[in-house]
Amino acid sequence: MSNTSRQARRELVAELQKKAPEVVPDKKTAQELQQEIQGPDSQVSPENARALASQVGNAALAKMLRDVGRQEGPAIEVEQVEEQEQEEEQEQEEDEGWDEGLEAAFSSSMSAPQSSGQGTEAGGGAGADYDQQYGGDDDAEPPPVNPKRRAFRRAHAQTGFGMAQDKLKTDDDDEETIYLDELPPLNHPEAPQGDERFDAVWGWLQEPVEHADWDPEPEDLTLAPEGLVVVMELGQFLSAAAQDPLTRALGRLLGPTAGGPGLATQVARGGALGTLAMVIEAERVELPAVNQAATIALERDARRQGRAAAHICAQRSRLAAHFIFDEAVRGELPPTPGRASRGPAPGRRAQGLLDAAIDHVVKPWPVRPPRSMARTHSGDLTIDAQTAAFDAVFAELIGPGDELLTHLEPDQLQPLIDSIETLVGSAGRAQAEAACAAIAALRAAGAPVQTRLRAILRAVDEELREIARESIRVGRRLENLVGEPMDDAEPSLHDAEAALRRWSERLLLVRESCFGAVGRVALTATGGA
Amino acid sequence: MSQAVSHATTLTSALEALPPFGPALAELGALDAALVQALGRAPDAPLAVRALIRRGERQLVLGQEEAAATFAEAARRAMALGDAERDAHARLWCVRALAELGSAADARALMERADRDAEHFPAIQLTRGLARAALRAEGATSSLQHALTEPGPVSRRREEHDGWLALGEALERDARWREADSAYARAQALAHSAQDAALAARVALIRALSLLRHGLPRQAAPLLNAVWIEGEPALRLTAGLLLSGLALAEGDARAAGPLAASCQALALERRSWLAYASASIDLAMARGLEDPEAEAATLLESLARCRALGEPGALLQSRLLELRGQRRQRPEEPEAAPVVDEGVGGAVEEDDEGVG
Repeated sequence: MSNTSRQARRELVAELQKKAPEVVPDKKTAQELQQEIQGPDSQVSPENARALASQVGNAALAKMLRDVGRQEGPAIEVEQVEEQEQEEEQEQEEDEGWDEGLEAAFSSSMSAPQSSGQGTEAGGGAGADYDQQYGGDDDAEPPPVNPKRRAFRRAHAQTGFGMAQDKLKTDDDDEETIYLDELPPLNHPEAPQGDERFDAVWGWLQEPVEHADWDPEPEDLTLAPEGLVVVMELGQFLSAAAQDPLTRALGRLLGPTAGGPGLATQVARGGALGTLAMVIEAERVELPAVNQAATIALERDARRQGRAAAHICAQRSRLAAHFIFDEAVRGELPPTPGRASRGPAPGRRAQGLLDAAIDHVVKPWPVRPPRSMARTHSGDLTIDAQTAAFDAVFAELIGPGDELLTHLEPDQLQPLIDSIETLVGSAGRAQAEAACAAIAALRAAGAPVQTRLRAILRAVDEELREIARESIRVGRRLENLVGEPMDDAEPSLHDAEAALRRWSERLLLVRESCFGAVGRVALTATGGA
Repeated sequence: MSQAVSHATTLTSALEALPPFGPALAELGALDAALVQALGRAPDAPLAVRALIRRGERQLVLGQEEAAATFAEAARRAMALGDAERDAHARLWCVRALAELGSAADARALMERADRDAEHFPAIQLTRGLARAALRAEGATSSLQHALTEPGPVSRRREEHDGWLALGEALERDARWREADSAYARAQALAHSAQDAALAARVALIRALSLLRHGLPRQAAPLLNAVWIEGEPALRLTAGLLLSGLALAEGDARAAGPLAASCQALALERRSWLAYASASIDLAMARGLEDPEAEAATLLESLARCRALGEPGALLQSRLLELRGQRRQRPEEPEAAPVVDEGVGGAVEEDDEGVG
């Protein structure tokens, strides 16, 4: 294709882009139609639906109609779904910001000379670009981290357990302290037995004042009382990841009940059903694995904490999984008293459930497979399929170009360069994801596993840096091909595409192996593997 | 030799004729062992493939992890024999087994080709639908619906049961409650007809939970009652807690009280403390409906029992605090007003002593 025809094509594309807003739907009209469909006097007429479908798309319309249909079910469920969707959207927006920042920081750290994950405190290198781009500086306040208190673990609380629980936090209120005086004596707990061994939910429900609200209003649910949040979180995890259909069914039921009695009753019933769901799951999967998986799944703050720590590490040019982990758990746990012993590998079912629990907490982003460079039948290289279609139209209108493409041009490599950037960014994001997984595992399993978790993260960091370095090397080799005759460049292009696919697959594998290893380490702390 | 082959063939047919529901599992195990011996005397590759598929199915029902490896071996042997249908069939089973083990990535990797190959064999469409459902793949619902409408042989009943169950779950996810309930009912009927009471109780509970989510407690209650009577302890406790909650919501203290008391005893026996708290709160509320003073007394009594066993009973304390809060919310009542003003008032102490 000649430069003239290329220019003409660009002009046409620009022209079309200018015209595009004319066909973009009027948002107000779309909103009005949406209100008509979803409003109290719901009018789901074919005309409305057709008009809206053309504006918002069939999928969105179907969702709207589903939402209208859902209102025949319990109202509370609709609210829950809406709230959940809003939260998810908000979380996704937040994530995008975080991830872009982390990706940029990691990418720039890879371009710095001799990047090895052992970032220095000095300015420049990784942190400098990041700060410049996102306005951070070393003195800036890190984003707020609000870690929840750790859950009580019955197995780890053999001495003096329960005494602190008797002191209700009632400030200056004398009245509640009367109950303290009246409380029957608490005997020393024995080693956990029976259903006591399932303490994942129980551990979060040991503060009586938190769960006392005798007349909760529906709007109180928006304040997310701790007990109900824990129960709902467990429900979400079990309904998605449990291997027994009955456990999944119970998981779907967990949550607040409309018009139910006091909060304590709801929390107790939800917690009881959640624990029984775990008991049922344990008929298929080893008991310690079920409990530990649920405990990890309930460490919902690990992700936020990991990301906040990653932000701080990026500012200090130390964006590596083990540094993020150190930053996040600093001061949280007492000094390591010892190391958890290594046990045999857990069964496949147990591993599956643990992996699902870590996925539930970390919510890893999908790794996009690398793009390939589009090639026309004639051997002509074009940017993408859409552009190729334009070229075909042009060829029909004005005949073939002045000269056939014989040499590789820089913009033709763009899909591959984009893929490399994406891959390096994904490797950076995977650093934070690995750290989040380890934070959740540490908080679920306790200090004895800290050293082993850190060792896993160090290995993961090395792997991820290797992937990023190799990807960048591929990019440099591609740059050197610019201007080469197509026939000569083709084998190298083919090799580059294959290498990128290979590194992308390896990235997935590293992340998967990391989550698996972290889960196994968490399980050893319970003596379950 | 031919007699040995004939014996092995008979055993394989018997193995395939018996659907792997609870009561038949032991018999299937014995047949499988006998078949292994028979095939040892007269090796027959096609029979071995059929036997392996059947063994995998039994292992899957029993929740054994070896199921995936058994199906993989069956697929390998079927491929060596050039039996495309059994090869695809075994691979679909393997996909399901892997997905149920939580190895979704492995299952997905295997599914692509198995799904494509199975397209041409009508007899294995139900297995295909189940594999898709296990992966929550697109089209699982329609594929199951289509496969389940075709009448199958008796031996397929366990698979049909699983199919109806998976279909119910898929429909429930799409909020198609009524259709989901019908599907669950079909699964329950199949479990009943196979005299597998434990399985029937599980399906009844799944169905009841679906009805509760749909906001139909009255329809759920009979199913919960059946589970309460016939279920295993964990299922009984689950059903009992839900039933006592439903009775309380109706204000039926006479039904709720005994149920909650039974649940409390069952929970105490299992040392299931959250269930114990829930049952104790229900019991206290049921007694409170008849005598308002009895609620706090029951809670304190329950608290004493669990604390004697080392359980702090945090949620029972929460409920006691709620009761205190309720009393404080009566400032308009002339007698109650001094309680708030005086803090540790005589009336409160009297109340507490009375109920304690």
